[in-house]
Amino acid sequence: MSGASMTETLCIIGAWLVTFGAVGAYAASVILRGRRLSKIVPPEQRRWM
Amino acid sequence: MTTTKTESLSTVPAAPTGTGSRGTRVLGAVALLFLVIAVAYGLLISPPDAQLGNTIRIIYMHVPTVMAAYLAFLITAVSSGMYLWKRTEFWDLLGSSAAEIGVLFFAVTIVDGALWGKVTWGVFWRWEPRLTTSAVLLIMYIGYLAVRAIPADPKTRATRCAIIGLVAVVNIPIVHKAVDWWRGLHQGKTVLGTIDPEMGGTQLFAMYSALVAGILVCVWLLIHRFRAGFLAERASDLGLDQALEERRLESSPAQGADS
Amino acid sequence: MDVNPSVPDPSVPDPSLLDDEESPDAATPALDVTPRSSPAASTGNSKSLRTYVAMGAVLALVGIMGLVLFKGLNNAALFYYNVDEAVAQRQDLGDQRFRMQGNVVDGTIKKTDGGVSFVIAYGDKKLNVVNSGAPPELFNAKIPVILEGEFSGDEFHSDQILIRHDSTYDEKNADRVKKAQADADLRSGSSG
Repeated sequence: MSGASMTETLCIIGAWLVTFGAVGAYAASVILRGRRLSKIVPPEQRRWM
Repeated sequence: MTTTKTESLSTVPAAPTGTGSRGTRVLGAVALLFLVIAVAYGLLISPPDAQLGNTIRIIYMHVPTVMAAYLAFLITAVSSGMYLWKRTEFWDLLGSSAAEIGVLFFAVTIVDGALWGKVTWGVFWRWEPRLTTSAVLLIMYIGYLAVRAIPADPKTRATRCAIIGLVAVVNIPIVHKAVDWWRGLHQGKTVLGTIDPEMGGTQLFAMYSALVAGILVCVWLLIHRFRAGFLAERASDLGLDQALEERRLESSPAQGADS
Repeated sequence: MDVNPSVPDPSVPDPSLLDDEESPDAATPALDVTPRSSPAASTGNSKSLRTYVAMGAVLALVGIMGLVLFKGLNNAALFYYNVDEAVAQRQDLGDQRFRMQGNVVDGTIKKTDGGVSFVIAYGDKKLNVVNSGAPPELFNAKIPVILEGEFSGDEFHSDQILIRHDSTYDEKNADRVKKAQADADLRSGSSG
């Protein structure tokens, strides 16, 4: 029974980690990309529509 | 720069050094607050389920991510329609940014669901209606992103994507109703469909705080992604301008020798 | 680019590529904007590579979609038979593999050498089930299950038990537990 409970615990932790990990990694990549591009694009064009 | 342009700075704020702004920071803080509540209630405070035990805690991630994905895909559909009407870069960028975020959230939903299935059903995956239609939905939106990656004239690319964005959204009602239309393994609808979701008080609170957090994070990401996409377009214009300038410099001596 | 004035230049721009007369740089000499095929034109090559990769990805996705639809239509159209339906179609089903849904009857679960045996009921029909392999953790009496296996005589031999979960969530020790039990009793075909 402990083996089955182990699976349950792993799956629960896995689900939360996958969710926070994937969304967090994506958010970080978007923000870093924005900073990198901001260095290339001249200031007068760094205005959102 | 700060010393010489003091006057203009007082009226025009300095150009941002990233995709953040006061608005996104406030939104991000509120999203973070809801995430903390969701973690506290979803993992610690709410009791285990009578039948599912602690496995219900996966549902607190599964349902909010799918709702965020649906929201993103709906934004893609509306933007696609608006693009075909208005033909502006704004709608193209908004639609494609939302599609990317939708794919992210939907892929996470499927992984969470498979983990839930492993514990509850006993298997990660079966080709049952809800899961099959979900797979079709995800593949179509990955297709949207793949078509977008094909180098093309921006207007051609935007039109192709807008058409896919409008077609693919039809999947959402099919996935949502699949549990009613066909016999399957997946349970019935948890939210949107039952007036009173059959959940206890603390469980419901955990679910809805995670749902609000998921929607807020989705919108926050969308704003950042849109701005990053806008910057990428300007950088790409810049690259084109530079290439043209190089050609101009290369050709001018030859022209000079000619005359 | 090496331009020899005496020989007709093969890279003379296509007239259709010439600047618009009203554009600001219309007065300046025509600019060669035809794509370059020389090794220096690295941007052109990487662009065509990107095109192939992206087109390949789109084609692969179309293929995967076809596979998914094939799997889905094969399985999802009739994901399971209920016990009463399966019993009614006993002759047609023969010894072919299919999925069967029903409720586990309370008090019939027995451990066997290779797994577990129990009685499954749905509607007005009951059936003895022999499952090889240990059942999933949530396996219990009065819950709906889907079995994967085939008929063997009057028994059903399964090797995979899938636990069905209806969308009711109950906090432990809440009143709703009683309601859920009542629902399960009703569903397990107490009439039959």
